Amino acid sequence: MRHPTRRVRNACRSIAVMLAGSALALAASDAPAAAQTRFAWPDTTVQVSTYATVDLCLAAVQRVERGVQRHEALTLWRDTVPRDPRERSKPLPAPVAEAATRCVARFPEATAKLDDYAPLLALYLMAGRDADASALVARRVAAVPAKDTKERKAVQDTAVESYLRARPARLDAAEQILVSRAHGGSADRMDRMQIYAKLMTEAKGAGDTARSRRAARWIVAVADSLTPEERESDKYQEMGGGGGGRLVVFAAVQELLGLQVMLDSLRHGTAALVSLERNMWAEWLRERPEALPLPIGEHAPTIAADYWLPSAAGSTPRPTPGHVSYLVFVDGVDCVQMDPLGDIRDGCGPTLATLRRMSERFPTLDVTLVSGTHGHFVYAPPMTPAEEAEMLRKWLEPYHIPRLTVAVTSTPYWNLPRPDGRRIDKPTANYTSYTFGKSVKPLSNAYLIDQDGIVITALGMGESDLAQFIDVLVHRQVQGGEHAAK
Amino acid sequence: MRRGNGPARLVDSERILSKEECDAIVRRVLGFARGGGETRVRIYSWWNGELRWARNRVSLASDRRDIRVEVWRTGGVGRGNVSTNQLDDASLEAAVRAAERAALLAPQILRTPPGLPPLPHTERPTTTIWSDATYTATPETRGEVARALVAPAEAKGMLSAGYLEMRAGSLLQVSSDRLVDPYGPLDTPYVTWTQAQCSMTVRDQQGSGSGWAGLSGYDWGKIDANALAARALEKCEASQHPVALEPGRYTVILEPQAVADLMELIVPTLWRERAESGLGPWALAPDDALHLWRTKLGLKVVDERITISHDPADPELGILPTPWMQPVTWVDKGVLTNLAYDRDYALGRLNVNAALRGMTGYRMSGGTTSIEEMIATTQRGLLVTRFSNVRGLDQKSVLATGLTRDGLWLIEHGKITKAVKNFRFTESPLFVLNAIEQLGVPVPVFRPVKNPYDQSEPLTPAIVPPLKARDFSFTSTIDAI
Amino acid sequence: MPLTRRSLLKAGAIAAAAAAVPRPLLAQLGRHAEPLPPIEDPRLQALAARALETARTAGAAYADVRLTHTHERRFYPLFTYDDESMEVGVRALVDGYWGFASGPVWAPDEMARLGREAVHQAKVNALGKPRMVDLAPVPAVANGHWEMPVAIDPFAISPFEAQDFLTSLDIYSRRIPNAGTTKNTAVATMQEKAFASTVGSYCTQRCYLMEGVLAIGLELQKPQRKGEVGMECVSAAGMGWELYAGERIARVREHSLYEEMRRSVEELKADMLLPVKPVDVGRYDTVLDALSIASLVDGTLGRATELDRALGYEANAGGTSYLDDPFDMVGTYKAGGPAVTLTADRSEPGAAATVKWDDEGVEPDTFHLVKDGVLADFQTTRESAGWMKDYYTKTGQPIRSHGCAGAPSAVYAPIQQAPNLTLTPGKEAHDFDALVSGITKGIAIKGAGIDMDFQHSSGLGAGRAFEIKNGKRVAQIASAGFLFRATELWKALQAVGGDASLRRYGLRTAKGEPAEYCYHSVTAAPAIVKDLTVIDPLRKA
Repeated sequence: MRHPTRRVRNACRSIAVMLAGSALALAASDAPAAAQTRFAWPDTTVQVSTYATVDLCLAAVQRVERGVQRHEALTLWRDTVPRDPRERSKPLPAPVAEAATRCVARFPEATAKLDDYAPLLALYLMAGRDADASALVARRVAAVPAKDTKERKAVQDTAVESYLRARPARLDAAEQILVSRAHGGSADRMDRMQIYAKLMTEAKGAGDTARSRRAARWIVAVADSLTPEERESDKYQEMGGGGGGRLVVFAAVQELLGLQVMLDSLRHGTAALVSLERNMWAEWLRERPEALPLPIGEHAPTIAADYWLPSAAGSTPRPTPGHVSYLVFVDGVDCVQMDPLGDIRDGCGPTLATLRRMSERFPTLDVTLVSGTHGHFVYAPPMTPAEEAEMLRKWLEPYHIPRLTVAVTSTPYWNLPRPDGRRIDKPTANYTSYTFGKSVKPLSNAYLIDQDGIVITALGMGESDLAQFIDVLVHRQVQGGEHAAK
Repeated sequence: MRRGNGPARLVDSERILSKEECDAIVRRVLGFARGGGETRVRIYSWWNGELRWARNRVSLASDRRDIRVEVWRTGGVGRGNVSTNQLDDASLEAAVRAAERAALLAPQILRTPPGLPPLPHTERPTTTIWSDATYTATPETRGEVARALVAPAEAKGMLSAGYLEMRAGSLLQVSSDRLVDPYGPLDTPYVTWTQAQCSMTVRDQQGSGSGWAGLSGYDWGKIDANALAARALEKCEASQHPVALEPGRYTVILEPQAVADLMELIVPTLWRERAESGLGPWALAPDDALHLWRTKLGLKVVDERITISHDPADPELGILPTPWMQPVTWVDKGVLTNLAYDRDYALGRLNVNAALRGMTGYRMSGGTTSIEEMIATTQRGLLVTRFSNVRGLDQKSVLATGLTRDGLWLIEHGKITKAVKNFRFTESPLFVLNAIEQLGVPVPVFRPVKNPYDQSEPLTPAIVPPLKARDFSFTSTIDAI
Repeated sequence: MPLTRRSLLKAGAIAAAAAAVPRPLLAQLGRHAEPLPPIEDPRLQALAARALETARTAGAAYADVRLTHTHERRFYPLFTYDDESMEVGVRALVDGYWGFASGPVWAPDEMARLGREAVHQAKVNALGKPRMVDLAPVPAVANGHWEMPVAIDPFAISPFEAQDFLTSLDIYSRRIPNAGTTKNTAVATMQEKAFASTVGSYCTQRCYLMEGVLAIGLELQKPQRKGEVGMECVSAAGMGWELYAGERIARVREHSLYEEMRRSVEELKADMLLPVKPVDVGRYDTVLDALSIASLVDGTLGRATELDRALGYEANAGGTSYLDDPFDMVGTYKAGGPAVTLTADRSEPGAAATVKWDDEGVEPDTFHLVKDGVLADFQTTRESAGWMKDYYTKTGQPIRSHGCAGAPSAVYAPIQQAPNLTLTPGKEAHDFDALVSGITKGIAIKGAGIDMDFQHSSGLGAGRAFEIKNGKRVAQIASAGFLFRATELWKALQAVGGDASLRRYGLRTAKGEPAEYCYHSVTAAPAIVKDLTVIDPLRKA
């Protein structure tokens, strides 16, 4: 019995099995033959243990890692799986660690060239040779001329970054170095701030609250010592993935508060959380509480839309008073793109998957997606805004987000005079109203809004944190807490 | 007259693959694909009938053909591709397997999101640039033509060297996802084309004079080879024993070929995205308020007598079919009116479902002044036959260097007075197009496709006028005749 | 069943047979299509012979046939691309006229068709005035077989290994602060070729060509400058993967590729840190690095000593030669100063044009093109060697081809292609820096590219230029070029670097109509040219 679908499935499985067997042994399907064989590839097994340089080892490891990712992509629609902040604290996938171990076996620490310091350090950590790693760091630091503090700092930075980048992150080792030089000279405070931020993130991911809070304190301390010029610098403005140094500091402030404290005060009332965050901000940054560059505590403006999906949704104001709302600004144009080869990439799959999970888990949560028109959709030609809204709806349909409301605004635009004629979009009313007159662009385009229409958070928080916030709000609603009392 | 892709041609020869043959190859390739996923196939075939001569004798006559089948397979989450020129089942299956293996090892992870609208309908004209006169020209014809071209030169004791080429090709690209309309961005329905070219260089026995003439186009029937031979010979005779002139700025009369040689520097620049990234001659200035680059679109960039356009309906300007066959004008009376763009750009930035062709084939407007009149009205200047070894030096100004070749003469008081030794120039075509004094009647020039393997290089005739311009910068004399 | 394209298009018995076996290339050697054996398989000779028999029967005075099987593998850091093709070309000579026919099918019927077609092509031209072809004699090669020796067969290693190597170059380049590779690809080509001619020769060979494009960019902050250096040590070579992975390669690089890269970037950085000066137009004693000299050798003497060019056979295409009276000039013409000795060969191990037999079955020899400044000979094929008969006879030299016939594959007709060229080094052990140290006031130029005129006489060169003061490079010169005339240039050649400073570069050149692209190597040392004219190429008249 040979069912066609089964054959296809078997073929897929054999691909998967082949990849799974060992990411290194991606055997060629062509058997050797005496005759010349078209396109014959030699055995694709690579003896990495014979690799002569650490750069080759790193290249091999990267390749094996890509193989693992490919294999994973075949078996798992990763975009729909919640991002696990603890992932970074898990060990490396076995084939990657194996490749690193085998390849780096021929580089004993004692005879390793210090020229190879950074790549070798990364490889030792991948291979689990932590003792060799720390010996290498020590030997490298010792080789720095006593007076060259700048070089020593660079060497240490490399070590800290390697430790933090390793999987699992070597938090102890990283922090030890940071502590050991905390009182020593340091050239660039902003670099330090970034390293601390990284330590904080990694520690948080690993559930090491004590450490993440220590790092948060260092961040705030460094930020406190920055000169006005440093705060104005491009480097500071572009820090934290483009959100700016102030948001790095704010993340540290939140870390210092701690999720539980924030949730507790939220249980108490939104006002309590808002004043807690604003005051903490003001206290640590020595700024006015209102200067908090995020719309926390602001009143969420009502969304305007030319097209509502479903159309009945337009009859209720959004965010709807008395409901907890999760509002996401998503543009089809930014999400779905086609490359010159005709391949289409969906950049917003993870966001939409989060929306689906939140909506499923909290049946009373209002999920609203706010979008603007652009005069085209991926490869589809120009159309009326109504047609574009319909295309958005069809695009969103397969994500199966229960009770999703989509608000589509016809984006106002003008064209440069002909013959140039380029379309210049103006911000939509929704976009403008949701910047709350803040100078800093929010890191995230998602807003959690309470029953009274107050913005709780706008920072792109992890999915589990977000769920806890929503849970408190919804729970408050069900229990008839603050909202019912009013 | 038979159409290019009609079935009749299948019978007389196997020189290029027919549509039926290509379709059969596609079917077989798709049949070999295993495990689902997209398969793309691109098939091109070409035939060349050629003849070379030198020192007044044919040095080689040839008939050559080859094929390429390129296969892309999407397997798992990646895509791989390979190519071959063998059409048997074993080879094609091997190509598919190899592409699948490469797909398994590909670095990218491809996945199409669900819920997207269907591909919009895209017109794919299947017109051909086909000339039976080109395709059916026999080796005997080429031999006779060559003898006729050589004879006048030989009779005058000159040495003729040249090349005749008739060429035909076919191209098809499809995807298993879109075997029929609508086509994807890379798809091409079966198309065929021909090209003919003829060029020759006549030199004297002492190597003191050299003349050239050449013409290319899809239709051999439109090439008057004997006229070319006469022109090359005449130029050779007139260019003997040249004198050296001081480098410097001269008024120049550029024959159409010389103008076309300079225009090659402009051809690749006329793209919106380049200009809007601040690159090349058409970027104007950054607009800090709008965070974009303003371009010179709408500005006068060259002499108002210059219009550069292309109309595919123009029988002299046939091009391989593209979905966007509308007439286009890049420069209208000296004003930059259009820069090319692809469909993605048009959708996003202009909200139109269109693309605008780059300046491949083109017609440049001219005037009515004959070269003789230009000479007669020149006090002191140089007449240039063509340029050689032209190379860009600066993208912004399109400043370039190159050499004059095969005929350069001094004009004094309205008359050609002597042959001049060749110069190296350092000049920009934009400068020339802004220093025009007179323009002549546009004519087709020599502009053949160079690489038979590269079908991305379209067949691109150009129709260009002669012109007279001021202050052309010649920077050094060279030895070469 | 005859193997023609049409029969193959009708998928049939072959498909069934092929489904069971690994994926073979097919050739029809007997009555049926069968997997292509290695090129040395004796049965291929019968296939080749079929073309010759048909051509001879049709009236060819001479005919030859080439079968090529070409496998190209392009390596990128993240993927690999394969192209494989089989081609066959038959050439016939009738009454002094050449005909050629080629296509992609290896089968007896197709051999016969090509044999007939080649003769037909020749005959229709033989109708006119007579043409004389006096092919230089060549000993028949009886069943020769040769394989280019390579240390690492690029098709035998895992493509992953090659990809890892390219990736490791990326990784290594980023060890250097502000540096990174800007170009990083490698192409391996294996070409098997069978050749047979009516002289009675039959020989097969397997050649390799490895070529890389590797460049590293460097961005400096203080002062803000951008630079790039190309790693010419991976330019085309008749080698295998050792071109990348090998430790030291004589005349190519002294160190591993990583180390070579590090040194190149460091040199680039030091150069970029020099102050920048505008060009001061004038005549200067100029030190040119090995790459610049190699470009100059190739563009001037190299092209000019191609006999077909010198006689006008390329007048309508790639250009002629300033050695325009070859039979009078050879043996007497002063092509350069006494320091100039240029040899040519196609046998140097590792060089890009190296073969055992050329495309006419000739085993190439090593010969002088210029000896102690005097033009000594020309590059020849069997036909063009015949043109030199009088000179060879007069000077008591054998009339023989130097083995310079070639073409990219059998689909192209063979023409005279450039052999490997070597400019003899100086006796003193000078390198670039040593030459610079001997100059009080002058210019130094690295990596010059040149534009030649179509007679390969006058040229414009431009590269990274430096001012030399008291034996040291003290400044970079922005936008400097140099003008030269070939013979004056080579007469002004003062000092050539020593044997240790020789470097070999693989170059690709186009020639003929239709254009044929072939590779050869040029080996040269850095040298001093007296009174070179330095200009600003961007300055108009």
